[in-house]
Amino acid sequence: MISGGSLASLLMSAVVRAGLYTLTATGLSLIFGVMNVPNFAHGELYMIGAYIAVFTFAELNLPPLVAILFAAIGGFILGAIIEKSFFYPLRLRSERRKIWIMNTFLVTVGLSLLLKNLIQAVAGTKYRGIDQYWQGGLNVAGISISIDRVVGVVIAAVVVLAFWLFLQKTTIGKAIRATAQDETGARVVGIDLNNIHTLTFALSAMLASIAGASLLSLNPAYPTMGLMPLFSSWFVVILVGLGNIASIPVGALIISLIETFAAYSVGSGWQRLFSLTLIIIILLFKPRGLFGSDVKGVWER
Amino acid sequence: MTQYLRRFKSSKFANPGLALLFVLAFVPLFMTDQFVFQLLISALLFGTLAMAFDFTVGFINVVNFGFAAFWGAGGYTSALLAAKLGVSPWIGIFAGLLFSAFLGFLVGLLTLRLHGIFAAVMAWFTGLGLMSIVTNWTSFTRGPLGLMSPMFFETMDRGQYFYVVLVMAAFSFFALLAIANSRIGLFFKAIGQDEEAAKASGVNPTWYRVLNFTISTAIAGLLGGFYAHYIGILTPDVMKTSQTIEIMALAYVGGRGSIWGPLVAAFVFIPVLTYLQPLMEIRLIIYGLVLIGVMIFYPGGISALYRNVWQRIKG
Amino acid sequence: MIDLLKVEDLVVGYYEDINILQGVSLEAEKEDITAVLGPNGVGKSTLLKTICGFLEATSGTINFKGDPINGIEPHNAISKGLVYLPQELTLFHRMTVQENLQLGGWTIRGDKELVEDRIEENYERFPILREKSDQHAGNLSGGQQRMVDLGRALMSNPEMLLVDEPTAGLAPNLAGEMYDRLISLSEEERTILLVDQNIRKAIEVSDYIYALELGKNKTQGPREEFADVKEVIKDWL
Repeated sequence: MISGGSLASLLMSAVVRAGLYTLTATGLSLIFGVMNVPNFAHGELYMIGAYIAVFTFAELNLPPLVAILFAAIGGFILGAIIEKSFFYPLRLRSERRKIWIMNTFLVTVGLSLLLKNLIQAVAGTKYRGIDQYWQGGLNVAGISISIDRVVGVVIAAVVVLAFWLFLQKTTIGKAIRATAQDETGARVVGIDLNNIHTLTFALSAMLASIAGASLLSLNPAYPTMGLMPLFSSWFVVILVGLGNIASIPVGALIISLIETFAAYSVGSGWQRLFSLTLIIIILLFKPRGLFGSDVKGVWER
Repeated sequence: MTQYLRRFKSSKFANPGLALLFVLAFVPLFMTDQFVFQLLISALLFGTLAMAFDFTVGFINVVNFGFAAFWGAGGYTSALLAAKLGVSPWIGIFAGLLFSAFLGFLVGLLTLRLHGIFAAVMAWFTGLGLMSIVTNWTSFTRGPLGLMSPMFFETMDRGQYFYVVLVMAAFSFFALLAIANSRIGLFFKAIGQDEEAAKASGVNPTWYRVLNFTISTAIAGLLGGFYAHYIGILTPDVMKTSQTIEIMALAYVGGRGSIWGPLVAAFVFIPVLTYLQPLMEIRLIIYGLVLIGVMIFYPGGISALYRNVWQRIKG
Repeated sequence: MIDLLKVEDLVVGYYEDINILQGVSLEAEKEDITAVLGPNGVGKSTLLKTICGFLEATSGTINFKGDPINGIEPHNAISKGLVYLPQELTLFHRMTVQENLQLGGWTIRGDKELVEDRIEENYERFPILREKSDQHAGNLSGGQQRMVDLGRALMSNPEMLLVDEPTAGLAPNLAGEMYDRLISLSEEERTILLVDQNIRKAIEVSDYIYALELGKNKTQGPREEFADVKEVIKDWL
């Protein structure tokens, strides 16, 4: 039986986790929707964000929000460079979409090896964490929550909301969605796909990077730290439907609740098996996800 | 004799992979260096795994992204039988083969309706699930503490292990190529290219996809058993995604659909990269760059390169 | 006589050795409706795709307003005043009608008022779209989707429209409406290159007609020469 106090703190940590998953899964789903790239290197972009934040906050002693801002900018630039140097040349060489999806998958696998080990060569395997960005705690209904966590969730929520508004309301955001919905249509109205792809990948990297930076006090930076967020973003994205961005927060909450409560009741370690089982069942019976996939063309193969 | 040789030359087995295996058979006659044996064993082990991987991706066009879990499962089966019941490793490895084949059969069923990235993700998640069980069921597998596994031989001489893995590699090479070049291989390719068209012309995709998975994972399981009794200790790390990636990289760089290409790729990369062993990061950075480069500029890999060069020589 | 579009000896192939178009030439006169006709698979759609840059020609030239536009990027065609309406609708199905029209004005997005004005023009042209402006394009009927498609194409105020099978899948009365629209567009001083399976109707609305056969020009001439439609069809079969 779970007591009231521990139930509240479990819920709190599930919400923190859900915020993290939403940030990382949104970027993953976005580039699949727009570019049909199933990104295996998404966790490495998260890792880069954490390292940038360690450097700017702990080494340069910049304020926390500035450190996170630097991580956002760094992620954006890195994403743009990656798109232009790897996916752009590949796109020039691939005519058939069927081959494109798996070929880009392999490229992202190579990219993941590259980024992980470049960081390891430069920074070593040591854990580099921080105690906290912001000191102090809040006392809500008898449970204390560190401000750090609260701010982490708030940042996740604000960034996700801002990004969602960007996609819904601005002309460029609409062009990104239009490209995901009908690529030929986008070209017909004069949208330059090369620019849209670079921008989309950069934005996706930025979101992952912000996630890595804003949760630094919970997850210290180390080269292979990207694996767990990679798993969970894939869980969320498959659960709600690959390419379906609007439903991601719901999926993130489902996965994080399952993992949090499973870890509590059967012991940590086993919780992953619960979410894995759920996802396998989804893939078996509802491969387009709980809320349906938006992406045209993927289902032919 | 010449006529026999000529016939052989045009046969399905005549490729650089066969030449490689042939040369390797004589290596122990003039070589005793234990380090070199270790390299060759590694290359044969991973080369054979990559051949089995290619048997799925290069034919039915499904990326078995949980591949490492199957060779891990084979290894654990054999090691557990030896540790709990005292079964001889020589019998255990076949039990590992069977169990891994059974798991492959199940995953073949699970991925049946899926294609492309969805099939890959399904295989990945089932692989992660297996790894999660092995990691957490510590009372049975000892989890990350490691499971001791008896060795094949009493001696420390690597030469004997080399012959064991060489036999396994040669067996896999001939078996996979024979199937690949038979009618069944043709059906595999047909399904891989266009499942609907294959179905329309009377090929049953269900049966052939599951069959393909079962064969590929059986070989993975056999080599898992070899690994368990060669290294002497197993941890869940053998099932990690990064192991799959290494095998997959060899298969892609070697050239999908050739079977022999991945074996040759293993002999190009593993020795070279192992000499760089002190710099593990550099080794993996090179892996990453080669994989990216091949995917962008030469997706046919080594076997396509060989075919093109050969055709140019012939005119 | 001003040729807005002039195509000469166009050769196009999807694969190395197989050419879908084997030297097609045509001229589209300003403010005319020019039809390209012919049985299935003679390369009519390939011709349109190549003109607006979705496919690359092996040889031959394409001139638009006197400038060569060979190998133009599809997204640049529209700023030259050339817009393509593929046979399969390419609407953004999970966006509203309004948003679809707005994206049609992608190339003029800097001028918000102009975009608004053009959307308004479209609503006057297709009053039903004003009612449906907040609905997802994917939820409209086939005829209404064609209207959104045409409206979206008109957002950039193109000089020339390349129209591929505009009435495919439409009921006869809706198809008739679509042809009337094409005529009124040409009266608005727009040039139209029309690819159509509906030979009878296409001849009726066109000023000049080209007939293709297996990737080559067969015959051409003003509408009057194609007056006996039955003769024309028999000739093709």
